[in-house]
Amino acid sequence: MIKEQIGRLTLCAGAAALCSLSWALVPVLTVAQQPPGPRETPGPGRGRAARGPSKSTPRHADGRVNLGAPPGQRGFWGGGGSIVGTRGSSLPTNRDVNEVPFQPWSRALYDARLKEGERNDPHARCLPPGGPRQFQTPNGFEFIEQTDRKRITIIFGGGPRSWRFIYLDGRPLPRLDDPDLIPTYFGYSTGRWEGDTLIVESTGYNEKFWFHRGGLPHTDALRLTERFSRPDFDTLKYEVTVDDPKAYSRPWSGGFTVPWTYTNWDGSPGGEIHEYFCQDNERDYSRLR
Amino acid sequence: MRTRTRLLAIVCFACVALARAQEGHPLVGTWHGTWGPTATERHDVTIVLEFDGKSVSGMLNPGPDSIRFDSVTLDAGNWSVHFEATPQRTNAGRITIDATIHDVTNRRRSLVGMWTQGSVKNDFKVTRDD
Repeated sequence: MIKEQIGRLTLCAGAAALCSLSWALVPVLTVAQQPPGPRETPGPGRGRAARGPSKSTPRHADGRVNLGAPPGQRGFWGGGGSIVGTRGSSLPTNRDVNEVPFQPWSRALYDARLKEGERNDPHARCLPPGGPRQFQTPNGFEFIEQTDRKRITIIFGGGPRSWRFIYLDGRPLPRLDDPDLIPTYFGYSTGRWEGDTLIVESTGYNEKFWFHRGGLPHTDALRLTERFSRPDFDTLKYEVTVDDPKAYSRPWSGGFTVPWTYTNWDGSPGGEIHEYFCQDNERDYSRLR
Repeated sequence: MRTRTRLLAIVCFACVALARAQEGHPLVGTWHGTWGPTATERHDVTIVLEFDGKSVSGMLNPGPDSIRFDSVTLDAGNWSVHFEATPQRTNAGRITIDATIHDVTNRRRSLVGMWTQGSVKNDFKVTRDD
């Protein structure tokens, strides 16, 4: 009798362990089964409100577009799509990856990265991603407009939970040939409003990250021109021009839209970016193909 | 004095290359390893490489006895690399290295191939600094 019960318990425990293992493998299998190519990041889409006509673009008292939550409201931006291809939330005007003006080495390296998946992606080791990649990362992001300091801070809920400054005080960008320049993950950014669009120029990037999901290569010569606009309450339109003469034969552009998220990541009420640290939760790096 | 200035310039060059290069052009950065005719007879070698958007340049063994490469060519189709260098201070003969980049997407990728000096062929392997 006791032996029978032990046998049943062992069977149950085995089944439970198998079940847990299958759930644990789901993310790995998902990564492995996705076709090669620049993938869309679904972002916290589960937190979106029921589909319906979006409210109009929120504005500050002076009429300027508000890229954040209006006073008394909550919410943040989810993850975006790809700057190449037109799948998902990518812009319909994006070029196909075969139309990107790669240099021969950068095309070959990109193909090699696509073939190998995220095995050697610095982001999988929790390094911060600059460029469009920062907006493709799950867990969302938020604009904090600091008018008194003439800057916008973007905080990111994904990856290593980092932030980025965009200065609106008219300062010049650093020169790439400045011997004192320290290249960084997010580069150095200056911005200005042109009508309802925030235009941000950035340079001074290091080469320690992939600036786009899938591994579009870049070098320390990278210069990005980003255009942020909010055509309606629920949509952030992100467009970027990539100018990196060491990796691409000419500047090229692409973009995607990002959905406004009304709830927490898990769908519960709130609209707040929750605490997440890549370093604390990273379990897949050793198993990435 | 002139030698010291040159040495300082070389060290600065190496440091800048080391600090800046990671995931960009696959050859850029500092590489360490060995070459030699047998598994036990090895010579240490350091290679520092830069890319200006058109061509790769660099040197062997930064320091007083460094040798600048005459040419570095990469075939991105198969990741093969051909180096040529002419030692200035010795009569050891022209150096050619024919290697292939192994594990190109890895920040710790390697260059593996053949080091030829004069008529002597040696195997060669260097790994990129992280």
